[in-house]
Amino acid sequence: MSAKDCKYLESHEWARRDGDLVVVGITDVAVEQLSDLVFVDLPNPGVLVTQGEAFGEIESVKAVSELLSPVTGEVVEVNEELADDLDRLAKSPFEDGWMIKVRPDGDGGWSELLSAEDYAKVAAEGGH
Amino acid sequence: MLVDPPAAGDWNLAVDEALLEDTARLWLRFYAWDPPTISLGYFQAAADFAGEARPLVRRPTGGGAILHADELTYCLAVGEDLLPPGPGSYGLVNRALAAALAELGVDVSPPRPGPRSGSPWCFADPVGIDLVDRHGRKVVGSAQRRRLGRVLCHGSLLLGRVDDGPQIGALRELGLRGEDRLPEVLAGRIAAALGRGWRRADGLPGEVAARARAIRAERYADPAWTLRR
Repeated sequence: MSAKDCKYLESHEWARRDGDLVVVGITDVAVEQLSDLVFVDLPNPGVLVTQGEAFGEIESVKAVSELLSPVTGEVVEVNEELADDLDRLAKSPFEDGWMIKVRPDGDGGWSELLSAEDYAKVAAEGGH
Repeated sequence: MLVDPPAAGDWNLAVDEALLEDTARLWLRFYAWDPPTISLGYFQAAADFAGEARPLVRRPTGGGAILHADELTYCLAVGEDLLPPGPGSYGLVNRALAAALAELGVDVSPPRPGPRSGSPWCFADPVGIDLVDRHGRKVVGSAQRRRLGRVLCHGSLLLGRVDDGPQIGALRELGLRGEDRLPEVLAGRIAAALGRGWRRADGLPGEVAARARAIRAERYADPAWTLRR
């Protein structure tokens, strides 16, 4: 798996299909921008998330930012180890630093996400 | 730009959040706290402050707890295009704050890197995004909230000490001149840093005030919000 297998939001969240589920996290660009990650708050399994709306929050350098869901659906699994070990996110944002797995409602809005190429252009322009 | 009279903590934070949501305008608001209030950082554990007699509120912004007593607080709410995520956004505002304070007779600068104390109090632990006096005592602390493509920057400028408080620096003791001009001078320097100008508002627009009242009831006046962590 690599960043090229993912689709993206402009706000630097990635989504990757894994069987019937969609795995969600934030990109290396977001991690670099935020720097010095301190806290993360993720939803519990069973919570419904909506594409483009907040599913969690993260604090870095005294700044609290919302994490936006790339897809619409139900959270079925959460990376429980992340809150106690944010190094996972800093060192491996596309693998060990995954945040939630979502069972999408239909395609969950997958077709509206940015391709890796389009996200790279957004990120190069400064993105959000 | 708004210069508000002192108000309770739940109202102050509700107004700031309403200004963050007001995507039609850029806002710079100055205010004080009455009564003196302890604000917790968004992710802090309320249990660390269980014995405190003063009112507690939970900020939408990160960082540590602050005893808001003899201070000037600012809330800057603008688009992320003006202040993108990352430590650099603090630097831009801090340079403006430092220039304003220098104009009024006080030299402040970012602290030298040092060990963290682990204290839950914001002003006990100067970090790179803060401003300290020549003795290394923190006198300006900042934090942010990012939402809706906007950023809310909170900052506290310590004017005087509180006998039993955790603050360790105070601008008045450092020779601050023309304290009543502080909001105006800060606003001018922040406007120049952002490349924008301010127009003084007489008060909150009606729809923003209504939203602030709703936010206060939903969150900042609700003990469940303050004690949620």
